[in-house]
Amino acid sequence: MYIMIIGLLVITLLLFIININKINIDDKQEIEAEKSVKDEVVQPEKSKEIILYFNTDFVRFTLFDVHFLLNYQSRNFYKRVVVDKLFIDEPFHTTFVQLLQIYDRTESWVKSEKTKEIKLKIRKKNGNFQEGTSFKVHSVSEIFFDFLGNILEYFDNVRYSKSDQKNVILATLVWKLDLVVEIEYLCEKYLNDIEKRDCLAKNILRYHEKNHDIFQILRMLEVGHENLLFVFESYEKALKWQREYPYVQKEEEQYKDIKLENLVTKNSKKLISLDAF
Amino acid sequence: MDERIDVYQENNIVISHVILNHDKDIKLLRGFEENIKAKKRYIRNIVIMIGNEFITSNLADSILLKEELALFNFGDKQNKYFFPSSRTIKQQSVNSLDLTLSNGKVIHICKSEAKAMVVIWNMALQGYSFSRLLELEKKQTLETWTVALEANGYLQVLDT
Repeated sequence: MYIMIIGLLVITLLLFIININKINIDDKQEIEAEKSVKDEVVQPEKSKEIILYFNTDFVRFTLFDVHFLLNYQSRNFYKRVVVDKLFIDEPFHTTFVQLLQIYDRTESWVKSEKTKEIKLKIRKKNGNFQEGTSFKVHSVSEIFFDFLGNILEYFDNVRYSKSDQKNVILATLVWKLDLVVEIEYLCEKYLNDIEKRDCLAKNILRYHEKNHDIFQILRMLEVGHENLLFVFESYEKALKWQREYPYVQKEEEQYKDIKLENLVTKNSKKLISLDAF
Repeated sequence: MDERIDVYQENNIVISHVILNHDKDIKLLRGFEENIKAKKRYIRNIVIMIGNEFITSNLADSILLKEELALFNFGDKQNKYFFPSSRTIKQQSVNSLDLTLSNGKVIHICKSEAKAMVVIWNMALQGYSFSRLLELEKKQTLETWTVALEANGYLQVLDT
């Protein structure tokens, strides 16, 4: 009897163990099936790899460093004209930057049309008098930066060819150079307005002697030609909305001369990528 | 620390004018220092302007000019601004005070005009304290005057 009972127990134990193993095996199979489904979703069939080589190096041009220009407005114009439009051919590039430098460094002024003049006379400690006249003033550099901005907005690449744009920009910048007091040493003292402008133009456009179009445009500006009406309009606009500053004119006024030797030359250019601007 | 410190109080000068004579365009400019917290105005300078030209720039000078106006005929050649003179209008000799401007123009002032100007002068300075002016008269240069004139709209041409 005992032997029978023990035999039955052993058999039941064996059956139990076998059942447990069966269950485990089924679970494993299910998990493995799920895994295989996931793998099919995540890993699709591998396509052939295609490798393309682009030229990712920066394209570099010979440009002027921005530190030559002091004012932020002139730096903006250098970016708008030279960098964006890529006007880098040689006689234009340096003369444009030289003109920007001249308008950067001037402290000269134009008397505004809406001012009174008041004559001041003030007694000093010693009993001497100090005299001066006070009025309102526009600064020449601000006028010209606005003027250039108005002209650049007018330009269209469709209507005006690149060479025309360059010539008009240079001519308009040279046109009113007689307002800048610091360059007056270049010419003789007693000259007409027209003679003075000619003299200044010859000095500053000395690399453009073969380019007759610029001098033709300058003559058209002095006559007041119909085709250049937009230049006169933009100059008047720039004057109209210009800021006014109070100013005292004393008897002694001294300006530092801007010498052409101190301006940039062709050799002061560097290789610079366009992303630097 | 609710109170803000006014850094520019030294330069915060308000100019207003009283016209003493319309025909000759004679003005009395008064420079005030405004104390907004105490709601007070202190006179810091008194100046006389004829046309667009400063004649005096100082308290002492402008008081001297007023006294010359008040004396009229009794002044003599020691006067500094107005010189008594006599001229003929319609075959009648007339006494007047003369002042020459820097552009060569001569201004003649008759007795009644001089009296009226003195009266208006006295009215224009009523009620202001002169203590500040006598203590520290404004340290003035050409630049400070132009800044003050520009801020108060004296350099602007009015469209009327």
